[in-house]
Amino acid sequence: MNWEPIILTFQLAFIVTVILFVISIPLARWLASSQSKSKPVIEALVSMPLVLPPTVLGFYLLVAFGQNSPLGHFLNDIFGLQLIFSFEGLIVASVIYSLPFMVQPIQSGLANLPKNLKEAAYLMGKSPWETLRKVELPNIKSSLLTGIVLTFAHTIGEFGVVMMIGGNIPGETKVASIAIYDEVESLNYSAANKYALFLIVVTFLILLTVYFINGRSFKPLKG
Amino acid sequence: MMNIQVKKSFVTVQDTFALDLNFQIEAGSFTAIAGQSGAGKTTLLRMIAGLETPDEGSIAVKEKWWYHSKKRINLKPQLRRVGMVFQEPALFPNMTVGENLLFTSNNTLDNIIHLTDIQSLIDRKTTTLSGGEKQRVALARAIAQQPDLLLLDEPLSALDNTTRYALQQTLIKVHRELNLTTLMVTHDQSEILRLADHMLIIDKGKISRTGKPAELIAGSQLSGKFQFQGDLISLSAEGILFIASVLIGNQLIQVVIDKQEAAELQVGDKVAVASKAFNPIIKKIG
Repeated sequence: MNWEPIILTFQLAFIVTVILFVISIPLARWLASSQSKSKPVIEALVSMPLVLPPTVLGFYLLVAFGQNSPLGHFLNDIFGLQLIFSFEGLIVASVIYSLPFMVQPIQSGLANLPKNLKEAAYLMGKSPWETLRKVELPNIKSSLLTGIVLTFAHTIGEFGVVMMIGGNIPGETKVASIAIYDEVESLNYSAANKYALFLIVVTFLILLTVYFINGRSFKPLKG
Repeated sequence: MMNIQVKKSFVTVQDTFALDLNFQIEAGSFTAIAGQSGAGKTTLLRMIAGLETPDEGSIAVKEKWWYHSKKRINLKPQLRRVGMVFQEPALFPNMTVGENLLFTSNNTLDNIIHLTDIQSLIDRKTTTLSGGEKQRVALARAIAQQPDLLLLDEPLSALDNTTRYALQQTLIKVHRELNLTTLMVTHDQSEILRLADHMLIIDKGKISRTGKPAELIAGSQLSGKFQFQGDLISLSAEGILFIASVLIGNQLIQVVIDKQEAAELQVGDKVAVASKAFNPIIKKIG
């Protein structure tokens, strides 16, 4: 079995999860507490990847990042970034594609936290940042973990977006799901089976570990 | 001295509701705020704490503006030096009792721990505490930051009578010791009589009456008929107030009275008790 697609898949999932974790906390906090009129718009945009076919997202990213688009041109000229058929492109696409899987659990965790916890911390002179770090996040560990796991798993399972924007370049964009498709197309079922089975076992073990920890450490919050 | 003059309008499901309050509080006083549900009592406390912003008006504490709509002053809650105990104990579940206290202040807290009687709880997780213990810790945490003002938003309303009584004792002790200007929202008339030296009644968004609790509460009950006669079997002191125990038939009734009333009564007196609106009140009949 060629390990390259597997390693690439986990690299991608890891990087995407880290990036999304950092982006999603402020976004989720804003969504959980804001009363702004633009909130429904942002919420709808964040949730779009849940309902859109991955090919739609992939198609527009392909158009947006392509050499013929002003954005693609700009990224290439200024930063030397080539987002089509590259690992970097996969990261950007996956971040957009998996955004709701990180934002939604954190948002609902923060929204369900009693409001007076935050207020009590403010009255003690704590800044919003310190309150987030020391009061809010430690009390929604289980939501954070859910967001991390869902994002990681969702990125591993990605296919359509990768197909559209990444293609099938070994060591660059050929992730496990693409490798399986590739092997099946060349009627190489036993190789496809190895990749598929490996993914099943590893993802099951990750999920099992996480839910085991989750069930043991985090009891539902009371008052 | 604290000056408060605030206006705020709300749109509720039924109609719009306007809060228009203007009052002063003496430094070191314990003021009870009473009024029906939805009268705006909690909103008033939240505006003083800076958790909600009035539409217009001013709030001055210790000759410092916390809020002034014309001068465009609106101090953040972080800068107002307010200790607040909410109806639901807002203890941080991820911390122990001790950590909750230390989150507020790095000073030595021995005095406060002793005053609120939570020595045995310090290492406990807050999620393992009973309702009464939680509010005890919440009170300790609120005073640990040495606030200029203590706001209590019905902190005892969810507790059973025995626990509430014990916490009232603690509040009396804390107030006597620290002399903190305190504002307490409560529905409980006996609580007001036991704790407060001043009282505001809010009705339909306005202050309808202010004064001493004994006068306001007793006054509202003058229409009550003194229909239960019995014997005064004991008088005991409780802070600024006294408890008269009256035996009516085989029922023992406890009546909260003030110092003046207590001076006029003697154990063994025949008394009559009225129980119309709120608490029982008492008068000597022979």
